[in-house]
Amino acid sequence: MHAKIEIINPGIQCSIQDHGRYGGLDYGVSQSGVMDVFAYDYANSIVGNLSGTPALEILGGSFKALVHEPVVICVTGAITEMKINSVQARLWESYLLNRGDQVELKSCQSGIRNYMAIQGTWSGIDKFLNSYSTDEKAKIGGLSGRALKRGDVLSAIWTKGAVKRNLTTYVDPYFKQLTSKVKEVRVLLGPQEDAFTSIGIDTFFNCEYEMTTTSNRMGLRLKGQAVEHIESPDILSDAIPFGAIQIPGDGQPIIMMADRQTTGGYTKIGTVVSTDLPVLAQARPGDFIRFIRIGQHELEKIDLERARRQNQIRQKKDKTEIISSKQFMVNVKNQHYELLVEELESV
Amino acid sequence: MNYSIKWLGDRMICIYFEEKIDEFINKKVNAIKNRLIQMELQGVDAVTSTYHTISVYYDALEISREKLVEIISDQCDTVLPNQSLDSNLLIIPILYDGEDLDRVATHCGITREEVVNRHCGTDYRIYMLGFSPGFPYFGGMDPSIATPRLKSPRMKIKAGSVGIADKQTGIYPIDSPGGWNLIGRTPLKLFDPLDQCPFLLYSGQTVRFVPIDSIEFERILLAGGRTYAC
Repeated sequence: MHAKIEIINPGIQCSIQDHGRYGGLDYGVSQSGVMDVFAYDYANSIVGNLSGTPALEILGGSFKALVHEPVVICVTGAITEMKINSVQARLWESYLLNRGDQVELKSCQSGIRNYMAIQGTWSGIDKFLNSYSTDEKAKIGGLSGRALKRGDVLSAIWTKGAVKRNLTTYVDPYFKQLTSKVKEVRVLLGPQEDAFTSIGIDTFFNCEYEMTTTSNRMGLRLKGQAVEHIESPDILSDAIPFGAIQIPGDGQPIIMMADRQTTGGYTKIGTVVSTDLPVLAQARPGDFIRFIRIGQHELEKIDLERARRQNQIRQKKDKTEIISSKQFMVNVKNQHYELLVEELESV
Repeated sequence: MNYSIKWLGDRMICIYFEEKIDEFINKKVNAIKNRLIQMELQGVDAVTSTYHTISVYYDALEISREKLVEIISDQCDTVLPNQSLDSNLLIIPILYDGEDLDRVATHCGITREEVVNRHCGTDYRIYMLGFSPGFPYFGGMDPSIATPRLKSPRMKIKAGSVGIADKQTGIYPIDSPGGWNLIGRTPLKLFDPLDQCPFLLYSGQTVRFVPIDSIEFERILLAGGRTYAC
């Protein structure tokens, strides 16, 4: 069965993303991919998709789409008012939408990015180096390498049937941080920790830094007490991982995010651990970031957290409330009707 | 050769050699990187290199950190710089008609023709790619044509533009803003996402610039801009 949905209002920035592109990192192509992998993975899992299926990343709410052929969707991420045909709907829950239905996101109350998964195998989008992620700078991936605009139509072919599932427990620390004005993220020092004075490093870990409006998918630009270098803020260019914190000459941290350049010549004081990146992805201008120092021996703890999360997300998918679905064409008095019959499995 | 291994967060490990632009170090870096790529290690998402570093993007749920360090150290200790992939020399044709050619000539106190002669009078090594898709960091430019960057960068520089910024020369693979002195342009496409080989250049490669006229420029462009034989 075909799913088809048209973008009526893409909001500030809406793009197709997946887990990112690794095949071009050695050639200067950005990683791209979702900013908030936690919300993205859950969205796909809840609609019954394979992990890594592309989804929409919607910045700042104010999004609207119209359904042309039945779709199963789930929206996760920022706390945002969601409506289906003007009726309140819930995030972290799947919905079957029929022809003519409208789905709408109002402004975000907490957090800044939403993810909309659509069940099925997407068609008509570009894959480059094994990823569908949109890279607007290089004009690759997604829909012609650009952000979505009004009138764009997304299509998918259903792989399962209608699914009715939702997230029942919001115990992950992610949710607490989502509503907090001060985001705490853990940082492993290095690789250029030697470029900073000990006062500089103390400043970095003891102060809160405010996120500025110049932040985007490339990086979060922060302002606060300057982090002091011993001498030069410049290094011979080296690689920049997702979450690396650059300190340029003005001492103001920049956290490098999904669309960052692959290499750079500023000193990096540390790297935010991967499990805390979704928290940063939801930070808004005016929010504060506090850096918590961790040691190398704590990396295993981070691995365990990540494994636990992956299991929880996977379980969501395996717990099948799924259900077969059949489509019928009915002809009544020369009027054609499409009929969708869902079989819900009791849990 | 001395090196150190550093962890960048929980998903990347880096090998640092001495921090300098050095052909010998860069050859070793490329040789180790290529070996690590060839090994196709389970749990390794990407291996990349810069002038003096190798970075491994990994997933500790699939490969242990101890194992990674063991494999990396082993390669660093055994792989020799001359095991770097030897490349055929790549010729890059350039139409030297850049809008800043006069500025460079004036700054260096030589004629336009002499800037061109010095720019294509040497072979260049590609030390790394970065900044934007397919952007090469060349080493080996004649220091006598070094020219400071423009005070205010241009909003849009067309793909294929060849520039000089201080002691460096480079080619813009995609349209982008930039502050380099533009001295010419190449009809070759350094980055073509629709081609089977999207990247024309790779790190460790040697290239030579050859001056061409506008007729030759158009001819190569019409032929697809992916190869040039002179």
